[in-house]
Amino acid sequence: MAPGVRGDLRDSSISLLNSPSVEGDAVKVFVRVRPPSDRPALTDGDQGLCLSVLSSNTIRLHSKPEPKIFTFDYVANMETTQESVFSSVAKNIVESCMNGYNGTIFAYGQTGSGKTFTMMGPSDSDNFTHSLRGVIPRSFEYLFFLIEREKEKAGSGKSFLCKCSFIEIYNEQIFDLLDSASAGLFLREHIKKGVFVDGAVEQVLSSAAEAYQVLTTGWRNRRVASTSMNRESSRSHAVFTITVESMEKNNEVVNIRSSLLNLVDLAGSERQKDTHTEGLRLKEAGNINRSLSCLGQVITALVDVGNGKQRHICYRDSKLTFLLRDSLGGNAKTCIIANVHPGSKCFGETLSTLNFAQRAKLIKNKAVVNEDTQGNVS
Amino acid sequence: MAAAAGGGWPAVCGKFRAARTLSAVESLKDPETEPYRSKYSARALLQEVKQLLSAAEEGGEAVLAVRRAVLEYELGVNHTDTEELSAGEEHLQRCTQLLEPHRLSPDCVSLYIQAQNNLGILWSQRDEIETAQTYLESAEALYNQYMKEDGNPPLDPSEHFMAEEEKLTDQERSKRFEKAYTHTLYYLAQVYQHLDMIEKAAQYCHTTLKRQLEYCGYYPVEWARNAATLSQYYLSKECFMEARHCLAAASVIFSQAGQVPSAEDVDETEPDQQDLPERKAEIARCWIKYCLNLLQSARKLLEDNIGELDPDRQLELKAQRKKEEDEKETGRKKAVLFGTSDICDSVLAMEEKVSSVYPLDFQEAREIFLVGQNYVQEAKEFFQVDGYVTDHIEIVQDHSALFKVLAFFEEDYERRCKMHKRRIDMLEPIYADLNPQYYLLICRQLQCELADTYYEMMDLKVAIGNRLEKLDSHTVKKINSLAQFAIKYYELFLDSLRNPDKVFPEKLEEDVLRPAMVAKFHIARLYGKLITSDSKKQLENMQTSLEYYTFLVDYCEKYPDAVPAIETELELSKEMVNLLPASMERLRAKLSSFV
Repeated sequence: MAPGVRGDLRDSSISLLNSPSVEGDAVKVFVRVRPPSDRPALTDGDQGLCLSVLSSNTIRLHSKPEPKIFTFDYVANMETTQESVFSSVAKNIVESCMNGYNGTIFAYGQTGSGKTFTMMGPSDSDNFTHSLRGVIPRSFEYLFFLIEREKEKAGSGKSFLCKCSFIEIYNEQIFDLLDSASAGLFLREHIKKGVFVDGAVEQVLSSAAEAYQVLTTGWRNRRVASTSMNRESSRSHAVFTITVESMEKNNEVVNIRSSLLNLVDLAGSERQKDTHTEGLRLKEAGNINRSLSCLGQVITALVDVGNGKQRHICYRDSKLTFLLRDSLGGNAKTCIIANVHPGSKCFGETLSTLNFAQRAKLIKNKAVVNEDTQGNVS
Repeated sequence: MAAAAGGGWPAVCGKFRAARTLSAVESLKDPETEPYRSKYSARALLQEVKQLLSAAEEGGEAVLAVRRAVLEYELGVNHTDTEELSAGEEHLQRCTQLLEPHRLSPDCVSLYIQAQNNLGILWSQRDEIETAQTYLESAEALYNQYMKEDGNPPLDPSEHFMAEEEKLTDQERSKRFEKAYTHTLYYLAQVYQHLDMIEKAAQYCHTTLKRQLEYCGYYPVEWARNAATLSQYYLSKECFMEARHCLAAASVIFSQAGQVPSAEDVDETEPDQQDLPERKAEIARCWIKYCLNLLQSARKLLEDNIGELDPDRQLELKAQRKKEEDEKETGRKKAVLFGTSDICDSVLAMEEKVSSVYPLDFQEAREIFLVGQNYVQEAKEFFQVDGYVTDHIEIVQDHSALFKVLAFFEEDYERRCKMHKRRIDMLEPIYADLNPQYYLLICRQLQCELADTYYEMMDLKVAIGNRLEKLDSHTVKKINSLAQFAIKYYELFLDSLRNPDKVFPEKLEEDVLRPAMVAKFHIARLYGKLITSDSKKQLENMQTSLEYYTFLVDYCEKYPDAVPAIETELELSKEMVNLLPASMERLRAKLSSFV
């Protein structure tokens, strides 16, 4: 695990709160409680659970001595279906995406808390028509449904172009899941297009079925890579991105709208142990390596507290935060699904997930319609 | 005898060596599922050695005690590595107890320091940083005491299990001992940072860097990057001499990157060699900030209450500088100097290229400006707009800021105006291309900066105009067009605050409150400044101006918590809201009398 991947996401979401120009819609935060696994863990009744869902937006964590109550935009209990998660979380974002806003959906939580189930569906099935399919396949269906409807309404005046890419960030390296031969891609910025992965395959999509196809291929590549190349999928972030471009002709004026929809399956949040967010622990010097590799981090922290002075810090943020900069306190509609496992064993991780989600609620985004008018009115 | 049965002393040493190899080399290859396999085998070997040791009674009590301490140390580290902290602590404590009476002897001092380092790490893992601090500080004290009283290269702990002919040279001993102590300082830097003792943490970072250089334990690029970052800490404290020293050293050491390493380091190549151009550009950016901060701090010292250069203050500071120049600097300097003689010479040569004292007049300011501008070019070579939009724009913004602060030192208004024009010329094209969909924050920064620059230029033109007997039409046109541009960019900024349905927010978010209010206030002033011979038009402008002033006053009435952010502006706005209607009335009366 590269230092700082998960930790940076947390840090930046906090630091963005103080950044000089963040405003507008708050990030929506949903919590989903998965059922404890198939094994009959419920034998000892509610005793085995560390939390209970009080209403559709509050959750109680049985901490000692005082239980803690958290409030979120929506809390899904164990019985909540995939369909209802989709309609309360993603539907709105897909619709905004059609209207020219950027949107991002994150799944956050410890390994085993149900991130992949929520985003993709049951792990053993490549078939995204399954009734348990997750947010990503359902988003495809809904997106193309909306596109077809728009097209019918507007006739030949309006056209759409959808493209997608699917990448994985592991150990601060970027891999293209649509091109298993590629390795070591880089992030770049374009003055018009923002941040992008240089050289990532972009596949044109014309239907939900094609999107499933791409997702399946990419997902399979991720699994193959995780076994053959000693990559652990719980330590990698997967980012599926759809670009939706619409073009509308009105006499001589052409209106182009484009928006990005990022669907992100984050690495297990318990990996933050590996980073400096773990508290006071000192970083040790390597025994063989002469690099006192944490010294830079210490110095950076010293510079961080600089009192509004102009300064440059030589250590860039992580690949993931850089790629999703807009989604965390930027120009996008963002929601975070915090997945938790209700077992008492998971108390610590659950508490930290809920705390993270609580902070995430404070992040505010400003979404702007991405419109570009070309052509001459005169 | 047990030792004899196991093959005697050489066998014991062999086992010990095998345990160290298992722990340091083999354990790296352990599978995820059995992460501590080699560590456990190493532990078993160490236990065996311990058994053999108690049976083999050669070399007397003292030697035996030290050997036992070495084993306790190894076992302690082994247990902490495998997350058995309590057992680890016990072993390490036993090690220090055994050594306590001999801790200042050359046989033990290095081991004792390393045991304390590890106790420090151990306590930090238990989130008890103050306890960690006591161990590390006592290790630091022991090193200092030993160096004062003895100072000969002490034995390395591993030597206690070596045959006589394998023992290390004095040079190697000293190297290892110094390295252990460098680690103490490195851990202390972290401890102080965690305890929010920032200044002390910085000092220990500095010392760690210094020692890395002295004992050749560094990667040039990483070292340079750390030193450059440290310079930014010094900037925030306005310690320009220290900041410059760090930067000069960073540049000098960076130039060693990629050179053929000395023989003993062949097996270790620096990790991020392929990023050399980027790292170089980053150091350049740290230099830019240095020049910028030095100029800005100087401006703060020299400013009068309306933000212009105060000539009395200038004379005063020049006299003061003359007095201080020699005494103060030399004393401070000794403490922080990096490097051995030839590195030191290069660093000093590098430092001579730019001053570290506050510039007090245009000439001095210009020299610093030029250095900063050179680094702007260097940084831009790597951070090109195609691929590095954010970085590139930040550099251009710094360039503009350099011009802005240089203009402060310029006495000639026309020339000052030209400097601001340069800022416009570099910022406007970038702004025009930038997509607010992805760069909203930067767009807003540029809008505000462009507006402020036009505003400043207009003020300068008005000042120039006021010196003339009569405003000529060219100057009037110029003033009006500058004002219009300023209004345009302020309005663009205010528009960016509107929600997607184009509605201006009822209540402004805290972070944009001040910029938005200042924009409103400046627009109000700008409408007041527009020059027209058409009285009707003038009345309209006054009306607009009044509306903007009123916005400020009304807003603060509704949200009193906004007041502290814009106190001065609010006061002036209130005045204008009272005055303007009367002046407008007079103008109206004058107008109607012509009808």
